[in-house]
Amino acid sequence: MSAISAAEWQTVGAAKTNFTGKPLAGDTAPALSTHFTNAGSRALRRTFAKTTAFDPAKPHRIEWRWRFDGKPGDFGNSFNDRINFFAADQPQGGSNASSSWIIGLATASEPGREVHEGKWFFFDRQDDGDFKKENMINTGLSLVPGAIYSFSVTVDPAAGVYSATIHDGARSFTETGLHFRNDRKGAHPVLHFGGSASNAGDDHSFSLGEIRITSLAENAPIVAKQPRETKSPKPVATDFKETAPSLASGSVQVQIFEDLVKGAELDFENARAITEYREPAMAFTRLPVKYSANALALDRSSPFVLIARTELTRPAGEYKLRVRARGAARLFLGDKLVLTTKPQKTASDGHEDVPEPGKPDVAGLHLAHYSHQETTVTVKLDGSPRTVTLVALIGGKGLVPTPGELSVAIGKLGELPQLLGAPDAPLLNDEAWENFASTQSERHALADTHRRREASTAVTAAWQRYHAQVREHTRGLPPIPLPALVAGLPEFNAIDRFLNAHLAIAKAKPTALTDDLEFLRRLSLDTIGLLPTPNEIRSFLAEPPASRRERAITRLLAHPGWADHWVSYWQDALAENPGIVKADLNNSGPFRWWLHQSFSDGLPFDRLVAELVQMEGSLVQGAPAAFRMASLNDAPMAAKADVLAQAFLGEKLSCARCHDAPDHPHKQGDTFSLAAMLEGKPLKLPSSSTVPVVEGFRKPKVTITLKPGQSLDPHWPFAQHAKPTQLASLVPVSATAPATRSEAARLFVTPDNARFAKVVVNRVWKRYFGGGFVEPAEDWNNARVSNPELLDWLAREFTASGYDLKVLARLVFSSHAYQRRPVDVSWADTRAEDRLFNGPARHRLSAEQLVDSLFLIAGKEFGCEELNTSPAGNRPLETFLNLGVPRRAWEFAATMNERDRPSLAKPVVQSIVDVLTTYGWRQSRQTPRTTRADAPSPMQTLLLANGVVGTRITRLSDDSAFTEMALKEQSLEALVAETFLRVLGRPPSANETETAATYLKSSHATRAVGGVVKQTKKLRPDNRIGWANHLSTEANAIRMEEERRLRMGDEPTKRLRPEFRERYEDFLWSLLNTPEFILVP
Amino acid sequence: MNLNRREFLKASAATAFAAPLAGLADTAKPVPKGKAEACIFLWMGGGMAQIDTFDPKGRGDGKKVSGCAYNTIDTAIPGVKVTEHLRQTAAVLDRCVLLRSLSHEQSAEHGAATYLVHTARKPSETVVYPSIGSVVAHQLGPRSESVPPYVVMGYPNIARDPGFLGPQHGYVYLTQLETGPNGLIRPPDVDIARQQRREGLLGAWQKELARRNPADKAAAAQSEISRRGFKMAGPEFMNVFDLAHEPKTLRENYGGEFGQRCLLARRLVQSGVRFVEVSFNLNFINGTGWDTHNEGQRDQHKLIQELDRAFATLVLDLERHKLLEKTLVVIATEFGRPPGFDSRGGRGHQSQGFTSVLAGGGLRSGQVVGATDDGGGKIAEHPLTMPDYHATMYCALGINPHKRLYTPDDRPVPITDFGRPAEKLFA
Repeated sequence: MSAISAAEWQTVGAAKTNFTGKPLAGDTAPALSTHFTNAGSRALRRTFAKTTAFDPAKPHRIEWRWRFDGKPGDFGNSFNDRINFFAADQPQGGSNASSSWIIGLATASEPGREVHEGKWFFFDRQDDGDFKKENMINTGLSLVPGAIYSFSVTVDPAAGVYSATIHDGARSFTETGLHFRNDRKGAHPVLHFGGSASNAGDDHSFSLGEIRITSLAENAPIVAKQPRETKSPKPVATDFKETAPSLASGSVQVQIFEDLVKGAELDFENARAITEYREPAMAFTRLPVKYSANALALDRSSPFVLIARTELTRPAGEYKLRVRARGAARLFLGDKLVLTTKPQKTASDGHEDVPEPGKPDVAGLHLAHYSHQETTVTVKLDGSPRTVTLVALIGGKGLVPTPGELSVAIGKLGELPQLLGAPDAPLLNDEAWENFASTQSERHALADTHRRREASTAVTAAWQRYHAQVREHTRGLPPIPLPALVAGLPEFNAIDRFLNAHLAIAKAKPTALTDDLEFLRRLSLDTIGLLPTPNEIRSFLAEPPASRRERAITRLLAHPGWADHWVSYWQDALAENPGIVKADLNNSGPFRWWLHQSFSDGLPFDRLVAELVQMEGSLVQGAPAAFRMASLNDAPMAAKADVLAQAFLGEKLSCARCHDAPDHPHKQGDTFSLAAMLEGKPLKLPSSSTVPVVEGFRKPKVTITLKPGQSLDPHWPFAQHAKPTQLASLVPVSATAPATRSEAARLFVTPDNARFAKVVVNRVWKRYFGGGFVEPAEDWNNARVSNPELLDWLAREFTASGYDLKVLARLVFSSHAYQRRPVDVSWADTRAEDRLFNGPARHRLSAEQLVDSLFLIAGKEFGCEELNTSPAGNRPLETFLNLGVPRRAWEFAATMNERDRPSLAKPVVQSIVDVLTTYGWRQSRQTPRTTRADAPSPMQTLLLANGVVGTRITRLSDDSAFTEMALKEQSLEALVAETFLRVLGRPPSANETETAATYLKSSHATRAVGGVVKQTKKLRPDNRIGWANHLSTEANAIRMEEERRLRMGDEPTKRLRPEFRERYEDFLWSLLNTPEFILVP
Repeated sequence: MNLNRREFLKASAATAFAAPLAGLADTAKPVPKGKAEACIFLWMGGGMAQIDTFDPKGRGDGKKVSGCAYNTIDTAIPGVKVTEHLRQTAAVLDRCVLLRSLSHEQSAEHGAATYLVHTARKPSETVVYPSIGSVVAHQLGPRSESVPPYVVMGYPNIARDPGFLGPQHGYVYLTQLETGPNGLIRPPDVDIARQQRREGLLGAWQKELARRNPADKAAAAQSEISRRGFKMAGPEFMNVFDLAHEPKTLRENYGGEFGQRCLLARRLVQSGVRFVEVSFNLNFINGTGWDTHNEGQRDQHKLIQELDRAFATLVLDLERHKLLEKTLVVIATEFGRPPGFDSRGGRGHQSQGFTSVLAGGGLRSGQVVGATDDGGGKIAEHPLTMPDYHATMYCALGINPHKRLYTPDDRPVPITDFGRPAEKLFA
């Protein structure tokens, strides 16, 4: 319908209308020209009632044309000079809070109404109907007098949304998903076309052209646009509320949302938080890990959203709010958006400069890492409580999913701010921030443990039920008889009974029991990989002699270090080999953390192996999925098949990787059939996995039964060890892993697989005694078994216990054999029939035991760089892994500086890695290994004696425990005794006391320098250096300077006179370099 | 270590059962031998552009026209040219051999290519291969107790590691001449007198230990190892690192930091080190080092000039000391660079058709082995795989490239996989 007749129009304001104006160009019917003479609202108004052709309650489109005919000079610079076109559900004057759609133009703002001055707008209600910018979409177009405008509005009355288009003949603008101002759905049939004038005489004449209203199909509604996040998100329900005590209280509520981002917008419609917890302050250096139902770390969506809320109450006044964020964030005070930060950009090359060191704008301010934006806003508070909400995007494509140093702080202008939270929240200076960060890390570590154990209760219960059936099953097996008691040979438990039977036959003598302190030192190293501290030694000695050894076993088996010490072993045996930079050397992912958590959660060992085989979870957060990876390997699953077969079945498939094994019963098909099981589907033999035939050389005489390109089906190649029995089918497996992988997991760990229990028992025995019942432990082909009865018995005990490594370990440690003086024999190199195990083999500290113990006795931190070559967090984790700051030796990895650049070196890490590698640790674990190449060598001695680590340990710096010992008020003899206790785990003999005292006597009495304060500031590596600037000369120079400084050793304390200090350092040096330190008693 | 099994394998070499292992070597031909007893391995990390150094072609324009970025000059080998920034080397090229047709397939990743050139293998999950330095140290052995056989001037990395040969065949390294090798020299605050006092205390504990437990074999063995270790850090070997003993003019001839490292390499070889790897990793000269993508190309000539004076001075210095015949000097890199230029005037990577230079070692010098085509982007003659390249260097050092090494679990691994040495280099 288009005809405009005077009768149907009403006017608002004093109007002189001329209904017989010429049509606007392009129209057919004449335009309606108007001229008003009042100040205030002016409008032409018409009600479009429901007809058969048009129902204003249903979707429709309104189109009209319009032209400004008035005096441009009369229109402008007052809020009351406005144009508006709108619909309402009843007749009105001007547009107001009860209008639905509105197109208009306001020439100026007024107090309380900030508008897009002089620009056409479309109204889009956000959270209120106020006439202000937040509710007005700026079209960018100004008023062009004389131009014929086309307007179009498409309305969805039921949804309360509309879209609008403006076209001024030259340019146009369209927006959709606009919300009615009045927030009321339904028909708004009263249309108004007009505006407002500030003065009565203002000439704002205009011509209104043809109006077309078209009904639209019901199913072509206008989609509501995502609400722009200029309003503070409302609190919503959460799937999971943190119950771990360390994250359950605090003044800041934190929620994490996943999958919220659609395109460039956050979509809060129907959002539910994934997890909710509390922090004491609005600062985030670590976030909760997400775990699956079987406690495997999972990746969150990329990106995910963090929303933090707190109630802020401060005395009235002006404050500065300070946000630090790597990426996009928004800060709201109440509902008002007060601050935004930009999204983080990804980076690719290494040509950046080293960024300028930041300058604190307030004295004492802790500076965030350069990758953070630091944005402030000044706000006026009136003393009433206000809600502060932070919305932050974490991660995204090419970015790491960590918060960095995300934080909000508040302070009075010019003063040091404090983190936002309770009134006693930490100040934002270096010391308080470091404290906060390390405490936060501890709280999260506790909560992660709590959460994953809770998350996996059902799976744990399933395994418990299964183990009850395993116990039933083993009870039904023919019992393994104990051998007869042998008179005259000592025994503490069944292990001794079995060993004594063979000792008696060989007519060999057991060695005597070791003394208590030697036992404690050995036990401590074997359980937690650390030397016992003087306090632990004293507590041990304070216990009644008859029970102190058993109590030590109990205490150490419950110690968290149990997990650390086992990680090292399995890293070697399972070829854990993460590459921190562009992993291209047969690297795996970092499944070290999953190993650690599994041991610290006390997972039954069959469950651990089953989960390892099924390889699920996050690749980069260290779930067993990381075991799947083998970079640049032509057949990763073949590599893993070999690793698993060696580790858990004693079957060495590596000789059957590229051909049939020459002297093992394995064919290449066996390797690839198992590989196909792990893959979950048939595998093709790559041509690079075949021995080549080379011109001019004789043909290889190894047999090759497979052809390149041949497809191998998933098939278990070890029927001699396990078949799919009823019992095997009871092993709890994952519902989401590929079926054949779960089947392989079952067959590895089922009690029907006697080989599995024996191989694991053998490995544990070898670890503690220095040799196994079977050697080599990873290859049982044609092996002869020492004391097969004991191996069987232990395997049975282990199985019946539910594959509990601690039960097995306790049996070993409680035996008389283990507690004896060590034997000067290499059990691993002895023939099977001669392996009597009449005592543990004498051996030295392993690389990790050495490094961890050195720093333990000195009471020092490693002080390493972070194992992270992209500290800005703007490169993908897959190519730039972050292995964190090492705290125990197993956390180290190769620095991967094949490019030989100082800027890619990590001097402190390297100094410790040098010691580790010299003592047999591998920085590149491409192959699985059970036995290390750690024979004694002169280079080992030299490195410990002269190298950086040895120098740091002996240097009496202000952070050394030895410095405090030296300063303590005590006699020289007491100091010597305490030093021996700390380093060698025993008191000194009379001769030793005299030798040491003689050396130290002359300078001891005057050793202390009065009035000197202990230095607590730590020297930290420069964290601006990384891949981003690795080509920069300055970056190279900075690292080279750090190397030089490191070689000087830690800064010596000024609280001791140099004469005494140097002598006491010499004394420490001499103790560290005696054979007794490096040998395990 | 399963000695029994290895003995069994060796003993049964003649039997059919063990025949698969015996057949790997081509036993008909004798293996050629050079005269080298030590190797100085100069590592141009980043990928040295052969077309701008030792294998020049027609002049390019740095933009659309491919080719050499510099002019070429004649050398002491008739008919053979190098680029103008290698003037001093050109004059001694008659003591050298150019291998112009090196080839492998890892042109993408520096880490993987560096590993490949150092071990002549791709990383494997069944064997961790040793680097050439470790093999040389293992095969030739140290000349004396107090000299480590393998020294690196550069950073520890997996490509240089001893792999299955074990850490005792690893290297001592230094990253800066100023600081010297970590571990080998005493910390700066421990002079000889202090060291002696320390060792005195240590001796007292060892005596006490022996008194209390005379039968402790392990402790005695450990003490012996210590003694040997301290001997290595003795004053004679430590003096090797002190370049102040060399004439000033010689030091000036060698040039900057890289040249001084080459001088130290000569001294190390004189003192008995078997393999010295010297890294040219001084990126501050042109920002990127030899990896001359984009703007890195601009000052590449400065790198080449540094290399030129250091290498030529080293060759003449070794000759003067009558060491050149007994020392194999190698200029090596992980790959080369193509004749074309990238969008900012630099070059990408090219792994099929790049150059290594050998000098000394008793080789028949003044020759070129292999060739690239006129454009410089493809091999035209005698491609040398990494095993061939390694075989050539091993033969120069008197090491049989087909000899079998054994992993700790007794798997035989030949020193190279069917490597064919360049015959014409040997008498």
